[in-house]
Amino acid sequence: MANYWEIGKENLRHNLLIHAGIALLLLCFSPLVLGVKNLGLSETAKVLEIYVALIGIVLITPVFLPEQNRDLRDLIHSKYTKVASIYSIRVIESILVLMLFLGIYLWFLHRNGCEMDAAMYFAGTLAEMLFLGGLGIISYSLTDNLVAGYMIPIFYYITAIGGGKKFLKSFYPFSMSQGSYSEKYWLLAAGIVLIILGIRIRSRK
Amino acid sequence: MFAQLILKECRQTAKSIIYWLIVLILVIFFSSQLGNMDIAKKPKPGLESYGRYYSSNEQDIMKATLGYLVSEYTNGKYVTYPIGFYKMVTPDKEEQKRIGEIISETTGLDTKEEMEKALNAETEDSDAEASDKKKNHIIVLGGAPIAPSKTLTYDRFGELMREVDHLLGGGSQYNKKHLKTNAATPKTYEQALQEYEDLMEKDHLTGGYARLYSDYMGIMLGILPVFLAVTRGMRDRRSQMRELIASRRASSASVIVSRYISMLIMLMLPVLLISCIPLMECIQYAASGFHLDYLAFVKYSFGWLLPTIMIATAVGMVLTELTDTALGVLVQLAWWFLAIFSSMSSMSGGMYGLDLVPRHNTEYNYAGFHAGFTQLAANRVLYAVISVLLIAVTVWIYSLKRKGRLDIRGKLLGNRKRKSQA
Amino acid sequence: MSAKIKIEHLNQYYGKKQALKDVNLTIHQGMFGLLGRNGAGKTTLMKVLATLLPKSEGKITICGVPLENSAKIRRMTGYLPQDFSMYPNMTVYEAMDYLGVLSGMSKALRKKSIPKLLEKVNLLDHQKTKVKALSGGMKRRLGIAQAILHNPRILIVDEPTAGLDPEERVRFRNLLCEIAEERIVILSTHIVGDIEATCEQIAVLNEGEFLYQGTVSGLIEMADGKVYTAQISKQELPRIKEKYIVTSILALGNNVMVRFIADQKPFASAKICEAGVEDAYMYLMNGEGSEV
Repeated sequence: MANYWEIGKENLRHNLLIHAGIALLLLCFSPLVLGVKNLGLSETAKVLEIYVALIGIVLITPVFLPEQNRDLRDLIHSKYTKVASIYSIRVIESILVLMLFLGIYLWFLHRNGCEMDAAMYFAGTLAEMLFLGGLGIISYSLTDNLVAGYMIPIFYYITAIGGGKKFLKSFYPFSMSQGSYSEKYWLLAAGIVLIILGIRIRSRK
Repeated sequence: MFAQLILKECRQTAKSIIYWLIVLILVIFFSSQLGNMDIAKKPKPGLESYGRYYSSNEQDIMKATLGYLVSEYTNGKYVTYPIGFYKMVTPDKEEQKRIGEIISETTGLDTKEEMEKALNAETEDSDAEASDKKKNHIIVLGGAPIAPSKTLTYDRFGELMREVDHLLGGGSQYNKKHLKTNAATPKTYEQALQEYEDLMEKDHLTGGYARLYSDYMGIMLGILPVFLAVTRGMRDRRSQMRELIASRRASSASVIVSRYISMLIMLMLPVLLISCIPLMECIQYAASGFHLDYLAFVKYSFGWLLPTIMIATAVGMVLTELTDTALGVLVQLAWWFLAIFSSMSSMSGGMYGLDLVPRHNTEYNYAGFHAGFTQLAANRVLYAVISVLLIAVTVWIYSLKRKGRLDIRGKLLGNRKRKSQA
Repeated sequence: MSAKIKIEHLNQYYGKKQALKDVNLTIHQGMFGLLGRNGAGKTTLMKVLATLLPKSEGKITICGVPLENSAKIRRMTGYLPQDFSMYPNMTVYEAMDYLGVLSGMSKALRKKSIPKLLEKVNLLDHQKTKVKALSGGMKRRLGIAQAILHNPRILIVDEPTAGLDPEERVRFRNLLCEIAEERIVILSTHIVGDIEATCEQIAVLNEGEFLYQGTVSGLIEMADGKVYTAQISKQELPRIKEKYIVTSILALGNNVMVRFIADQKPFASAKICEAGVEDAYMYLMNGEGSEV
C-alpha cells in the first residue's frame, strides 16, 4: 500500500504537475473568452461541455508518457510492481485532479450567478472528460504515439462541434446544454471501458 | 540531393500512422459535411422564401443595428460573442446612461416609453403590410428596425457604435465587423436568380463549390497538420537518431525545409484527391457545352487551403524543434479554437479579415467573394509569409541544437530521469 | 596529405563544471584509443570533434580545417554515438540510403557503396530487415556502416563495444582495424581489452585530464617490472587488496592466484611477470602515474 502511495507521489511531482498546470491555465484563461457571469442553465452547460471538459484530454491522455522510451518501459515492466497498477494510479490521480478543478470551477460559476443543477452538471461534465480522456488513452496505447492520443479526441470534439449530433447520437457530448442527460451515461460507461482497455493494451506491450 | 531528400521524407510520411489517421479524418469529415452535396438548381419564381442575405445598404444597416440596440437597451442586457461564445453583459448605470445618450443622438428617441413604442409600432406596422413588401423587410430578431435620425451620417453612426461595443467589452453586434451582418434581409426571386446566374456564369459552377469545399476543409486543415509536424519533429529523438543526422554534412536548412515541403506535399495530396469527388459531381451536372472551370478546385486548394496547411505545419515544427514536446498541439489548438469560434459570425463569406480559417459557407455569394477578394488574398499571403518566417526560425533553432548550443528540453525537464521512475 | 587531428589547449565547461581541462593532443592516421572511466570526458571530447558540442576554449583543426567550419568538418567525419538507433520502421537499406542522402551522396554512388558496406559489416542478408527487428550487435554494425558511408577520413566511435557479446566484440574490433587502414579511427572505451587488441596510439582520460598519451607499449612499459603474481590463501586476499592494486584474481580451490602491482618485490612467493595493458591502466588510474 505504502508502495502505491509512493508511486502516486512520484507521478504527482514529475508527470501530473506540468499537465495540471496547463489545465489550470486553460481554466484561468476562460473568463477572457467566455461569458462566466449570470448564465442561464443552457449557457452554463455550454461553457462546461464545450470548454471545461477539454482539460480531460490534457490530464488523462499523457499517463504513459514517462515510459515513452522503449528501454525504460522494459525496465519498468520488469519491476515487481505491476505496470497496470502504476498506470491505474496515475489515471485515478488525474481524475481526482479533474474533479477538484471542476468542483472549483462550478463553485466559481455559481458565485458569479450562473444557474446550474450542480450535481448533474458536475457528473455530466466529468463523464465527458472521462470519455475524451479514454479516447486519448486508447489511441495512445494503440499507436504508441502521444500525438495520436491527442488527435483522436480532438477530432471527436470537432465533429461534435460541426453539428455531429446526427452522427454521434448517444455519444453526443454537448447534450446537457440541450437539456438531455442520457448521453452522459453512455459517455461515462464508454469512457471507463476505454480507459481500462487502454491500460490493459499498454501493459501487455 | 534536395529533391531526393524530399522524396525520402514523403515516403516516411506515407508510412506514419498519424498521416493515415489525418487522411481518414479528412475523408470522414468530407463525406459527413459535403457527401450529399446537392448541386444548385435554378430558382423558381413564386416561392415562399429564397433565403436571406445581408444588406450592405448603409440605411438598412443603421436601421437594423439601431433596432437591436434599442431593444437591448430597454432590456438592460446585451448579448456579446467575444470568441463566438455567448456572453451576457449587464452594463452599470454610467454605461447604460451613455448608451441612452447615443440612442438619443442616433434615433431621436429619448425615453424608454418612446423606444418601446417605436419597437412595437414597427412590428405592428410590418405585420399589417402586404406580403410583397414584407419580402424586402429587414429582419431584427426580438425587435424591429428603427429609422435613424435624418441628420445622422454613416461615419458618425460607425463611431458611436464602436463606442457602444467598447462599453460592452467587445464582441457585440455593434462592432465594425458585425455591423455588416445585422441587416438580414429576405432575398427576392430576382436576387436569388442573380446569385444563381453568378454561380453559373462567373464561377463556372465549380468556383462556387470549390469555395464551399475550401470552407469546410479549411476547418480541419487549420488543426490536423500540426499533429503531423509534431510527430515528425519528435521522431528523431524518439528513435535516437538525432546525432546520426546532426553529424552529417546536409545543411540545417535542407534538413528542415525538405521535411516541411514533403509534409505540405503529403497533406495537399488528399486535399486534391478528395476534391475530385465534388468536381465529378459538377461535371455530371453540367450540361454539354457548359463552360466548366475544371481547374477551380486545384486553384482554390492551393490559393485558399495551402496557406492554412502551411501555417499549421510551421507552428508545429517550430515549437517542436524549440521544446521537443507536443506543445505545438496545444498552441495550435488554442489558436484554432479562437479562430473558428470567432469567425462563426462571418461564415457566409465576403468577410475574411485576418481569419486563420476564412469562411465562406455557401456555394453562392460570388459578389461577396469578389468584393472581399483583396482582403482574402492579403490574408492568405500574410499566412504564407508568416509560415516561411517560422520555418526560417526553425532552421535557426535546429542549427543551434545540432551544434549543441541550445537545449531547452534539458532545461525544462531536467528531472527527466527521476521522473521516469514514477 | 595524411589525415591529422590537432587539439590545442581545449577546455570544456558545462556550466561551472569543467569537463575537459587543457587538453592537448595530436592524432595521426590509424586507430586511436581513448580510455577512461565512465564520465571521464570521453564522450564530450568526441562530441566536440564531431561538431555536436561547441567547444568552450582552445583550438582544434582536422586535416588543417578549423573546427568552426562545421560544414567542411562534417564532410570529413563520420560519427557513431554511444546510444543511437534509427527510424524503427525503415529497413536496413532504407536507413542507409536516407543517411546517405543527408551526406550528399548521389543516387548512383549510394547504390554502389551501400551493398558493399553492408557486406563489410555482414548485414547484406538483412538489408530488407526493419531496424526495429535488429539485435544489439547488428544495430552496432549498421551504426558503423552508416558512419563510414560517405567515406570519411575520420571516424569517431563512442563506446562501440558496449553491450556486445564477446564474439561480437572480437569481430567488431577486427572490423574497426580494417577500417582504420586508410583513416583515423577514434575509439572510446572503458574496456581495456578493446584498446589492447587494436590501437597503436592511445590516451587515458581521467576527470577531464590526460593521464597518458602515447603508444600501447609505452603504457605497458610504465608498469614494467611492477607486476607480480602470487598464489595465496583466500583469507589473505583482503590484506593484499588493501595494500596493492589487484588487477586480476583467479580462484584455485581454497587458494587464489592474484595479479597485482607493487613497486618492489612484496614477499618471497610473489613472482614478477610481464605487464599487460590492463595492469598498466590500473596502475595509472590509481594515481601512480602522475608523473606523465
